[in-house]
Amino acid sequence: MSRMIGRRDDHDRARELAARQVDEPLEPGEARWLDGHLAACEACAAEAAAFEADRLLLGGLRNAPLVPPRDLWARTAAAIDAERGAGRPTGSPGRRSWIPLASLAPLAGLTVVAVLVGSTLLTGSPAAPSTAGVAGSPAPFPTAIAMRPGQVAVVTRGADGGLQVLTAGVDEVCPLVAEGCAAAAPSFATSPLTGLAAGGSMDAIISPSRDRIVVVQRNTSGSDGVYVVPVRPPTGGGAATIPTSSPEPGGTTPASSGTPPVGGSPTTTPAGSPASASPSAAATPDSTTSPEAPTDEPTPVDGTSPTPAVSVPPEATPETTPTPAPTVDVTPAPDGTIEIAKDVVVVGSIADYDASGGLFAFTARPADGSAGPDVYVWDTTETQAHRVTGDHRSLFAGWDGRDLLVSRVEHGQPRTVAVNARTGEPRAGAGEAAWLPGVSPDGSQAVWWEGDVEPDTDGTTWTPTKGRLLIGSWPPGSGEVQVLSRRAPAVWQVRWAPDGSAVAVWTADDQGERGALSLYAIDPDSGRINLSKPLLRDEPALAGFSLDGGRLVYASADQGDGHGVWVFAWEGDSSGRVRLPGNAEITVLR
Amino acid sequence: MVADSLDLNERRALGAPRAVSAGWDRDEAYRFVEDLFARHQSEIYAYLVRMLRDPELAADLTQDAFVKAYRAYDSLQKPENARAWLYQIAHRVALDNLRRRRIVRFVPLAGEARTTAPSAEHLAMDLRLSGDLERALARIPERQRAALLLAELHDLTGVELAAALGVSHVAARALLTRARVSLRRALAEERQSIADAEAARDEARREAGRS
Repeated sequence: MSRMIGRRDDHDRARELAARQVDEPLEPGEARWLDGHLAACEACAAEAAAFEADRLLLGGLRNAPLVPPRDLWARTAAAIDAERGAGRPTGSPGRRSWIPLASLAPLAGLTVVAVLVGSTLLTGSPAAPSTAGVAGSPAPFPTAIAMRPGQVAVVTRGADGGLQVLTAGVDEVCPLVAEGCAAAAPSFATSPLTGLAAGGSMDAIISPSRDRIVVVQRNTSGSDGVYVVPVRPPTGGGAATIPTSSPEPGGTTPASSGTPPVGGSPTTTPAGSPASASPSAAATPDSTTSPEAPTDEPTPVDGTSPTPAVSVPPEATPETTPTPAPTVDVTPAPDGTIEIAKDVVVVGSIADYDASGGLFAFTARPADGSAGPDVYVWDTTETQAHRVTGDHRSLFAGWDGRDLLVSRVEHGQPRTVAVNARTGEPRAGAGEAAWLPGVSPDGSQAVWWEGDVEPDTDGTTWTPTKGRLLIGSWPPGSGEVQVLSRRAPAVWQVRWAPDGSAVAVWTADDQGERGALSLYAIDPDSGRINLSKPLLRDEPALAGFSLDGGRLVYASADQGDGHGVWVFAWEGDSSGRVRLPGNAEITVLR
Repeated sequence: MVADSLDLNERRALGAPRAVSAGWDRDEAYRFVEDLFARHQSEIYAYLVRMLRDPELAADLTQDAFVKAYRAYDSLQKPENARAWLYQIAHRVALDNLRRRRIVRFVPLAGEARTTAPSAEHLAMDLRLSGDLERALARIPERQRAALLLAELHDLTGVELAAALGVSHVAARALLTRARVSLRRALAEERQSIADAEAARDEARREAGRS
């Protein structure tokens, strides 16, 4: 048997050498071996001759000229003219505007950021195991994969110590196993979040209507608050890349104060990341013929035309004074910043807009420890958040349509009830035996914990102990479920693709923000996921990631090659990802 | 995005360090692309037709490639590299499109979208009408097909081939060798299927003659 395998290998080798010899001379040893083999193998000799014959055959295609349409130049020239007319930027990236956040704003140029400030998540954590990286087994042909263009947006600290939003178009990724694949590195447009104390954030959420961002941020100072802040248009130079040198934590200088840089220059190009690369993405994702956006500008996510971001102070009462009570406090700073909640500590890892974008919910407790956690809802047409539960033991799990899902421990057992988001009134029924369910956009499926939970050491939340993390038909008992994990994560975040085609689940073993991220495609027919073949499995990732149709963006902690932002994209049967250099204080905008 | 990665590959494969671009003369770029179009439109179009197997789409993508060339004008450092640079753009355009269409890649090219099984007679006709070489080419992986076409039909040198494909010189060679092996197998299979179809047709005729 082994002899036959050996001979088959010989034939394969002969075939390979014979094919290679068409284009380049073989090594003397190889040539001798091939001659010897062909002399002994009639079929192989015939095949070797056929390679030459194929070559002639290919050359014969020249005799069948293919003539382009006569109007091709007219069409091409028109397309170029359109481009010329549109104006091709020669200056800095994002010169016109940073578009995606501003252009989609129904509030005509008003972009608002709410920041929830709590305790630090981003510093002092132990290093995550270094298991990630594009460089798996080397593939012979590393080529970037073109993907439906999409936006990557992150919140990070700039070189001046101030928080800023960086946005860029990314439409190329590398195969997961490729080595040395060069996907084009995007160039980021920069928008400072002025008036905010810089520092790490655990989550940054853009509203469904894309007119405002909530940054859930924690710091060590203990002076917690919730802010609404106008976002400025991109600063002049912008940043070609994400600053990779992280300013020292603790330098909480407001960006607006114009203090000198405390870290690396934002325009410094990290090694391996060409400064010349720039975002450009087809405005119409599926059209191959539509002119692409000029290469130095980010492209609106939905193809809407850019509207310059204009800083308009939100409606607010300037003379409102801070109150010691948790939340509900409006204090506009001269730059338009409003603090809408203070003296609270954000609890858990779940905070989100409802589907309409009109309400934003999160869990918090008084910073002085006087009470346990309650669910807060911010109506975005108002200037303050309201506490909608009053039992001091309620955790926000997510939205189910227009209702809040609130998880509580009742008689030692976890239960989740639907609650009116404005009144806090529970809906009819006893609720479900589920802990912190993340429900799909259509409400038919969810990821939730089924099992026991125990009070945390600080008594402000609960942690799963024995049970299972499930995915399946929602509510429980309405259909099939699958077991995602039998290990109890301390915290988790679940995101469903807007169309329900995929779900990403991030879990962490402690209350920190370093965890593992998995991505599953949902079979459209069965509604099940293929557990043995996730699109991504247990990638080291920080809390806070974005998932939309075909694209997952997440950040990773330093694994020897610096912090990074990853864009994983899939389309049909092809998938890949690209890593953008990042820094220690980066949060993916979702 | 092609322009960006092109710039990368341009620098890597054609060894042209990119100077800091102070400005970007649109008229100069326009004239350059106009000239480029006059020289190379036919071969770029032919390449795209054979890559995509769709003349109308190939025309659209040819236009696309030249618009991208206009846009990326300042990434071209050496005018003598313009042709390989243009092929690189066209190649990226082709692959982008093929990848978007990947989901329909396995639709048979001859006699597609039939609701009923083709008759043996019809199949034999289809097979003869579209050359076995073209069909074999269509069956091999896209990047192998690109390597073969560019090397054999468009006469790109080794360095140019690597640049156009956006891979290293060694990788381009290896791709070409694999392409030759793949084409050989595909051609053999095409010819076998023609022989089988003709045999089936003859058999069907004999059956018909008997009844």
